[in-house]
Amino acid sequence: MSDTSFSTQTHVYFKKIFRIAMREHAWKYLVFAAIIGSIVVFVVGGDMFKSYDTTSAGFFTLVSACIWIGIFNSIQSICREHEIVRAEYRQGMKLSAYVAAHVLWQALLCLAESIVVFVLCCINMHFDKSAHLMASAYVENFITIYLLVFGAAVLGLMISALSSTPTTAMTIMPFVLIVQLILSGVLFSLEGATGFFANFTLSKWGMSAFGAEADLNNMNLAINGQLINEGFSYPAQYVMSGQMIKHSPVVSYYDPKAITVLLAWLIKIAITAFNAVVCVAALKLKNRDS
Amino acid sequence: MEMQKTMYYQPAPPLPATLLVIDCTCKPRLIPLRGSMTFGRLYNGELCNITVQSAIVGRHHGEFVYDDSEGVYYYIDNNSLNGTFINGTKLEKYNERGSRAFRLTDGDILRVDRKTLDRPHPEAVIMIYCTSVRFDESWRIFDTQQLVNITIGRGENNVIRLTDLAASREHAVLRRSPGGWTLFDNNSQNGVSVNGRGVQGSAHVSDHDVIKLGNTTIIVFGNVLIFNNPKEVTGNLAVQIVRKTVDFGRKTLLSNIRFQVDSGDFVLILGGSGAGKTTLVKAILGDGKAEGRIILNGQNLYENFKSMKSQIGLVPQFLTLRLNDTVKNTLMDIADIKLDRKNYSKEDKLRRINEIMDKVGITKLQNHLIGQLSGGQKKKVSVAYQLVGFQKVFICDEPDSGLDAASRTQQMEILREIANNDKIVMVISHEPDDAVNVETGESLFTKVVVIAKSAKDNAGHLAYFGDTQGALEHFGVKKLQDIMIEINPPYEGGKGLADVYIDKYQMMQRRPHYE
Repeated sequence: MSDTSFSTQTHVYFKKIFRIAMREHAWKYLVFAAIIGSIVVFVVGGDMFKSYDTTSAGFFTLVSACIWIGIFNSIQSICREHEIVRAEYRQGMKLSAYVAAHVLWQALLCLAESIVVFVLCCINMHFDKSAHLMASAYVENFITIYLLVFGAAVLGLMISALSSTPTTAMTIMPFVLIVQLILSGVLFSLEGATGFFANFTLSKWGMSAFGAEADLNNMNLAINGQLINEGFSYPAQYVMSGQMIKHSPVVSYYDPKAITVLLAWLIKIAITAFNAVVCVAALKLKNRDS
Repeated sequence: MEMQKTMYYQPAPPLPATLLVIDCTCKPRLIPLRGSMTFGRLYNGELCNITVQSAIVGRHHGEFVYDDSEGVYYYIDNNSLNGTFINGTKLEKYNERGSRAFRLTDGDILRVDRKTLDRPHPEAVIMIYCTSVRFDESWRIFDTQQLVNITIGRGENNVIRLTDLAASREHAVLRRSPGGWTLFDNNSQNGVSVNGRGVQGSAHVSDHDVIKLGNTTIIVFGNVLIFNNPKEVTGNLAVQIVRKTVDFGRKTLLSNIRFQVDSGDFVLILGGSGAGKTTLVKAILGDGKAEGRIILNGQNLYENFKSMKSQIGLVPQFLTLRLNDTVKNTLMDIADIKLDRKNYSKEDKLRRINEIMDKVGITKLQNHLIGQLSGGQKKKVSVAYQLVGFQKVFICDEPDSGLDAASRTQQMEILREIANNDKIVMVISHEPDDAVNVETGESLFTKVVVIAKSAKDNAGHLAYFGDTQGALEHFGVKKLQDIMIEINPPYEGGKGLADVYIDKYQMMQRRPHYE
């Protein structure tokens, strides 16, 4: 008897996870994605791309929905079978292969979910800006959605690997979501330490990619200059530009350039890869005596 | 055939004390020490416990005194004419009765000889005090008269070929030199010593000197070398736990658990709740390493954990299989993980899975989801799952819990059958009397390990290890499960006699059992 290779084990576990997911009706994840996507798209979709605040709020809601869908996919995947993992690790399972199989399955599931969400977006949103990297802004926005959902799914795997039980994982999940949303840069301005920590969140870089695609910096606020002439006071971060009010200062990571979009994608991929590595390390730590 | 790697030498927990005696007859004798014993010359009319043929040994030369409070032996020279040398130093007269008592430890060399030890008397006697030599080890006499160079090691081309896994392939060389031999250590893993002193590079060896390498002792005796050849251990599991502590050593869970089981053994582990059964199982698995050694086929599990862990399988009390997968897929997946493609084709794996399912009696269930099976069927799948990977040892934690009497017996018969195929199966069970041969009514277990919690130190001790009949006699009961009544504390419905049986077993161990 000798150890089988990483690729063989990944293949075996991927088949197993896929088989069990089909038996556990994995299609329900697509239904959840469709429900959440529908709510988001039909609530905010009509006002998208009309002004800075409505577009920003729309993207924020979309980012939140994507992160929720991704984490929800995987949050219980590993923690519910820690004892099984321990037993199989003893038998010769490679933890890296086990995690890789989960990541591959999530990549597949997230692709299907992203398609569902994106198709819904296309029904009620119009990604009519010109593309930065590819032929179509539609493709770029789809990639942004996919990397968000997939990144969140791997984040969920990491939480699952770190948690001892499903209850613990489900308790941690809201905290992680809140952190992602707070540090997205939409609700609060990110300065100092928060600005630093925000660099490690999927939400910030999701917003960055969407913001650059839609050229958020050049959008006007929903309220116009006439209201100001009538004595309407506006917060300090907004400035008059002719008769229109604009966001100021300009948000650097919404810069409508190809490099902004590319950087946002690469950072999301890096965060996802880091989370996968932490996932393997957490399992190794848990099973160090086995 | 691929040779096994050299084991790191580590002194094992002590065995019952024995004395290796070599006199002018040049025949090594292993004499078990049974309490205090006298030593002297073979003499008509008056005999000591240990006698030798030698004119330079007194009729009441010395005494081995057993201190039962510490379980150690002392040696006293009875002011004999020629005295006794221990490790090269002569014991001096202390009072009219004899010398000071010398506390003996494993490997101490006692000699009755003239003062010039490098030129021994023709009738000199050498004795080695041993607590690491098994009584059933073979001792060989090797004639060196025609030889100038003697290579020693496990390799095939050595003049003296050892089976001791703590010996390197080419461990050392003895080269004849003026006044004896020169011993060269070939940078061996575990080194070599002469008369208890480590050899750096090379050392001079005289007649009657004792060379130690790994578990092998070589005595230079005139024109011969006398050496033991520790048994080549195959297919056995030796548990040598000195202690297992937690809480940074402040709490002891297990103390002095030593036993050895062989291939084909079906072993029952008995013990009350909290006695340390699970701790013992974890220690054997290597999941919760204890102070001591777990030797499987001559290799220390703790030192080779990564490569050896898969040789010991655990069938846990609670199922650790995915409920939403079929029996066959589950077994096929573990076969894909454990059996590599190079040596096993898809057909080979399928054949093996079918054989195992047939052996365990789950062929008809192969397409069922595990979650749909009954408790007994799930346990069978668990056993089958462990069988896929050619493990040598199976530890089953209550494989019969939650089953009716007939299913319990059937489950135990399956495990017994597995043990019959040169495996070791160890079972924790609270219903051991159901494990009987339905035709003969005899117990299926070949060995019984009883762990009892001592009231003295709250740690689990070995209260018995041996065969089933011996267990019943040791505890004076008719059924195995009645042993629990004997050793459990009163608040758990027992008689609270754990310490009585622990002491009884320890006394039994101290008694010489080799004749």
